[in-house]
Amino acid sequence: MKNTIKIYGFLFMSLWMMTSCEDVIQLDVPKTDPYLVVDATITNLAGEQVVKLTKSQDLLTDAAPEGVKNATVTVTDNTGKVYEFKDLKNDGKYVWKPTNQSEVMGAVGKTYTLEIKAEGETYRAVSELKRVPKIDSIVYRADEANLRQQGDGKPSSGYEAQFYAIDPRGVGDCYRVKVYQNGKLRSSVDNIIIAYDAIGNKSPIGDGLMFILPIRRIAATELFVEKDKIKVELTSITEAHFDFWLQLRQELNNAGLFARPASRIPSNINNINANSSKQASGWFGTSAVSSLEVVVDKAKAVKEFNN
Amino acid sequence: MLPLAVFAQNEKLTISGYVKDNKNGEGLIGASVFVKELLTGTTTNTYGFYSLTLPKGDYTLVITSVGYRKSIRDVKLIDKNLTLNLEVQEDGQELAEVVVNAKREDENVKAIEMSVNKVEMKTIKKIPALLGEVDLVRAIQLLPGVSTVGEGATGFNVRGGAVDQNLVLMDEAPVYNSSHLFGFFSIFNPDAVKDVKLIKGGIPAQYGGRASSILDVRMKEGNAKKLEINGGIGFIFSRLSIEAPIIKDKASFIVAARRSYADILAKPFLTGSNSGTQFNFYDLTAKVNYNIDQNNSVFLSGYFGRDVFGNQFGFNWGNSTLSARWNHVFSSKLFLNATAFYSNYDYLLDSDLENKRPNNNFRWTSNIENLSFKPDFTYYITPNNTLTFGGQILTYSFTPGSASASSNGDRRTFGAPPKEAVEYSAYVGNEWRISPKLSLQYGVRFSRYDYKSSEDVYYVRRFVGISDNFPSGYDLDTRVNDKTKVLQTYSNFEPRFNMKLETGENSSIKASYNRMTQYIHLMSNTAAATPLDVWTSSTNNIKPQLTDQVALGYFKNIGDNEYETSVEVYYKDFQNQIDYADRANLFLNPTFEKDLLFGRGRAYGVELYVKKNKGKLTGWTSYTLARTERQIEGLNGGDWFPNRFDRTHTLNIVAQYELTKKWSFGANFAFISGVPYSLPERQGTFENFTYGITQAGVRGNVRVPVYNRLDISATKKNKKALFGKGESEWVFSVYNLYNRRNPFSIYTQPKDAKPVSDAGSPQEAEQLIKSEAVRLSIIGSLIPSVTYNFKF
Repeated sequence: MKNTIKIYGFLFMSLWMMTSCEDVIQLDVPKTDPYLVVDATITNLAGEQVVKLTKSQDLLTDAAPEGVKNATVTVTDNTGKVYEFKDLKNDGKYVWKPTNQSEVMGAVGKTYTLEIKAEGETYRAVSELKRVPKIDSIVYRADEANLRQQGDGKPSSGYEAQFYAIDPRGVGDCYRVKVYQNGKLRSSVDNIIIAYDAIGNKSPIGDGLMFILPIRRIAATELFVEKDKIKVELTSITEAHFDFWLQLRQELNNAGLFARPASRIPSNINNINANSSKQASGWFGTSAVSSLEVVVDKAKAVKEFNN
Repeated sequence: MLPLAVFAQNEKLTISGYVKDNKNGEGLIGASVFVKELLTGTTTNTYGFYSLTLPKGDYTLVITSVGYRKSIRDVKLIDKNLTLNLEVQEDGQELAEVVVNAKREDENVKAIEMSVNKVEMKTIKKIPALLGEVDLVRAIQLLPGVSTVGEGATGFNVRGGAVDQNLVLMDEAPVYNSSHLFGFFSIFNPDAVKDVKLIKGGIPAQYGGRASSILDVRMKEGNAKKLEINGGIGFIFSRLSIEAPIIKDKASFIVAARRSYADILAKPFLTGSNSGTQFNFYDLTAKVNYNIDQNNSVFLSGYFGRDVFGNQFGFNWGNSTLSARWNHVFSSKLFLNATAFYSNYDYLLDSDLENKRPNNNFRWTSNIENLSFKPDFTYYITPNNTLTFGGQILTYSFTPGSASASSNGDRRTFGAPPKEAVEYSAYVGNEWRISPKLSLQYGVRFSRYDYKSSEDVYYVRRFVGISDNFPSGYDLDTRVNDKTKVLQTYSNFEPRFNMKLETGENSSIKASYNRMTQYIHLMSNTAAATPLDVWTSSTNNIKPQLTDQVALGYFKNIGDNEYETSVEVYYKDFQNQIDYADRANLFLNPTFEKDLLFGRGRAYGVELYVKKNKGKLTGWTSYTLARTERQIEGLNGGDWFPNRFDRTHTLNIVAQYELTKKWSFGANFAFISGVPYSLPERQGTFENFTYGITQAGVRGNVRVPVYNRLDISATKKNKKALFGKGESEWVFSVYNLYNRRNPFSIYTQPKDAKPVSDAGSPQEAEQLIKSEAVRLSIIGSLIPSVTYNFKF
C-alpha cells in the first residue's frame, strides 16, 4: 500500500513539478560484525539443490560477494536421511546432486534441517516443506503499457497477463510467485510476489479464495509480447519465510517521503552459540513447486479478464 | 487563592461589549481596551468580547489592536451597567502617515502568556510561499520552537512533540490531518482565516487533549457591512470566497472554496489506461453568524476537504468538521461560549475506483469521528481578575481499518474492529493581576477517558523476549471482552501555571508550567506522517501520553516597541511515548499492540526571537537550539537516542519590505540541521538482491545533512481588479532561489541491474542487483510562480 502511495505521489510530482530528485551519494555508516549470508532453498523438483554461502559486505560495496569456502553443509530430513552438499567449484556454492534421474530431495510434509559448519561456527535452520495448489490457467489480453509498465526497452503495447489458481482450505498457506519470460526469471524488486493464502497480507480472510487481483497479475512491471513464453511458478513457503520476503521487499523498497527506519530482516539460520559475535543472515527455505507455461498467441488472447 | 473580597464591593459597574472592525464587522481578537484614568484594562476574547468592571466615574477608553488605528472613547459610568460596542478602523496604507502611533501594542511584554505566537494573516500572506500558495502551516514552521521532519511532510513538531501532539482547532473543532498532497499544502484557505494562534507552552486550562501544542485557527465571520469577493489564481489552487451581510450588522456569511487543477492541466498527457487518472484536492469552508441581540450570537461553521489520487487503483482522504456555537452574555460580567462540534477524518483505498470489477476488488477504509459539547464560561470579576471555567464531553469513534476483498465474486471483510471512547473534562482557571507588574494565571483541568472495544476479545501484552518471531519482545494473551462495559478508564489532573513579572517599562520575565494529557495516538512509523496513518485510542495496553513542561522567558521591547524580542528556555518530559518494533504492522491488524514499544521522551532548548513591527522593513528572526530524545525499551539497547524529528539548530529569517504603495518584497531564509535517520550497517546477497543487514532495534544511526533555502517574492498591487472594480495584486515568487537540492532523507535502494559475474562462475553469470545510497530532495530545483489575487 505504501508503494502505491509513493507511486501516485511521485507520479503526481513528476508529471507536474518535475522537481523532486534523487542524488547518489557516498555514505559512512557505523559497521557491525560481519555475518554469514545463507541463500538456500530446497524444492520438490527433480535435479540438484543449492546452498549458497557468502560473506556480508560493507554497505554499498559494488564487488560481488565473496563465497565462504571449506564449509560442511548437510541437510537432514525428519526421517534422519542426510544429504551432503559439496562446494564443487570452490566458490561457496554448495550443491547436492541426485544419484539417479528419479531421486528427488524435497517432499511435501517433511521437515528439513540445514546444518552449516563454517569458520569455526555451527549454524542450523529448520523448515517444513508445505503444500502447493496447481495453477489452473494463464490468461492474457492485449493492452497498452501503463505508467509502471513503461520504461527503457519495455514494449509500449503487448499483453497484460494473469494466472488463476485456488488456495486450498486451511488458513496460513504461504506462497511466492515467480514469473519467467522466455526462461528468464523476472527478478526485479517489483517482481517479488508473495501471498498469504490468496491475498497479500496476513489475515485469515483470504483462505480458500482464488488468488486475488494484485497477486494474480503477472505483468505488473512489463507487458509480454507475441510468442513470449510465460511461465508461472507457484512455490509454497512457510509463514516465517513469508515474513522474510515481506520484510526483504519492504527494505528494498524503503525510500521516499514515507520510508521507515531500516529494520532487521528475520533469518531462520541460527548460530548454535547464540552469544557468538558471528551470526547469520538470509534464509533456508523449503518449497513445493507447481508451474504452468503458455506461449503468447494473439488468437488465444482474451478480450476481457474474468472480472 | 481567589481574591473573593472583590465580590463584596458593590460600588462598581460594568462596561461590556464587542470590539469590531468598522469595515467588515469582524470581531477583533485580543484587542486592548485600556482605561486611561486607572491605568488598567483588558483584552477582548476570541469572539471580540470585553468586560470591564470599574468604580463609578467618567473614563477615557483607549482601544488598540495591532494593525488598527488607536480609538478613544469617553464613557460615563454613573448609575447602570453600560453596553458599548466599539468599532475601530484598519490602519490602511493610505492613512499610515496621519496615524499617530503614540503607544503601540506592547503585548509581548505585558501579556501574561508566554510561548505563544500569533501571526496575522496579513503577514502570512506576504511570506514567499511554495508555488505562491499562502500557507498557514508552512508559515508557523518559521516560528521559534516549531519544526518539521522535512519539506513536504505533513504537520509540524512543537518543542520536541510529534505531529499528533498538536491540537489543531478550526473554529474549535479538532482537525486530524492538516495537509493536502501529503504535506505540501495545508488545508486552511487563507481567504477564510481570521486569526491564528500557536500555544507552545503555558497552555491555559481551557485547552486539553494533546500533549504538545494548540494551534487555534479562527475562521472569518463574513463581512457584515457589504458584499466582498476574494479570489486568486495560482499554480496549484484557484480560490474564491464570497462574504456578505444577510442582515446588515446582524447576520453575515462566508463561503470559501479552493481546488487544485493539476489534473485538468495534465489531462492531455494521460492516454490509454491512464486516462482515468485523477489527482486533485479541494476544500470548502463556510460560516454563518447571527447576532440575535446584544447578549446572544450564534455561529455555524463547517469545513470539508478532500484529496483524491489514482486511476483504477486509488485513494482519497479528507477532514470534515461542523461546529455550532452560541455566545451568551448572562450579565455584563459573565460570558458563555457553548460549542457543539462534529469532526471526522477518513480515508479510502480502493482497487476499483470506477466500480468496473465488483467481483474482484479490494477496498479499505479507516476513520476517526468526534461529537462534542463544550461550554466555556468567562467571569470578569474585576479588570484585574478573570475566572474561566467550563467542561467538555467528547465522544470518539475509531475505525482503525476495515477492509473487504473479493475474488471471483467471493467477498470477505477483515481489519481492526471499531473502538469507542468518551473523554470528559472540566477545568477552572484564574488570571489575576496582583499588581501592575505581577500577574498570575493558574488553573487545573481534570480529564477522564473511558475506552470500549467492540471486539469479542481483548488483548493483554506479555513479555516473551525479543526474537525474530517477536521483534517487540511481547506476545498478546486473549481475554473475553464484555462489549457493553468500559474496558479501561484513565483519569488525570492537569495543573497549569503562568506568571509574569515586569522588570522595567519594556521588559518582563515570564515562567510557566503545564501538564497535558493525550488519550489518542497517531500510529506513524514513517519518515513523514502519511494520510493513511491510523488514529488509535488509549487502551488497556496503550497508556495516555503525559507531558510536563516548564518554560522560562525574558521579554523585551526595544525602540518604542519597534522591536519585540524574547528568549525562552524550556524543558519537557514525555511519558508513555509510543514507538514501533522492527516489522511493525500497523494496518488492518487487530493485534497491532503486539508490535508497539513504549518509553519516555525529553526535549529541551533555547528559543531566540526578534521581531520588527514598524517601518518599511518588517519581519522576524527566530533561532532554536534544541534536543529531542527518547528512551524506548527494545530500541538502541534502552539508551536515550535522538527522536526522528530532532533538529539541533533551526534558524529562520523572514523579512518584508514595503517599497512603495505599489510594490512590496518578501524574503525568507532557513538554515536547519538534519534529522537522524536509520540505515542498515552491512549488506548481504540473497538470490540476485543486495539487501541491508541491520541489527534489531537500531534507530537514528546517521544524520541527514543540513538544510538551507532562500525564497523571495515581489507583490505588485493594482488599484483595480477585473472590470475596473475592487483591487488586485500580482505575486511573483521564487522558492529555493539558489537552486539547492536540500536533502529530505537518505536511503539505500537497488541499483539498475547490470551483470556482475557471480562469485567466479562466469557461465552462470546472474543479474546481481547491487545497492546504492541515495539522497532524496523533495524540492530539487528553484520554483518560480505567479499568483493573481483579486478582491472586490
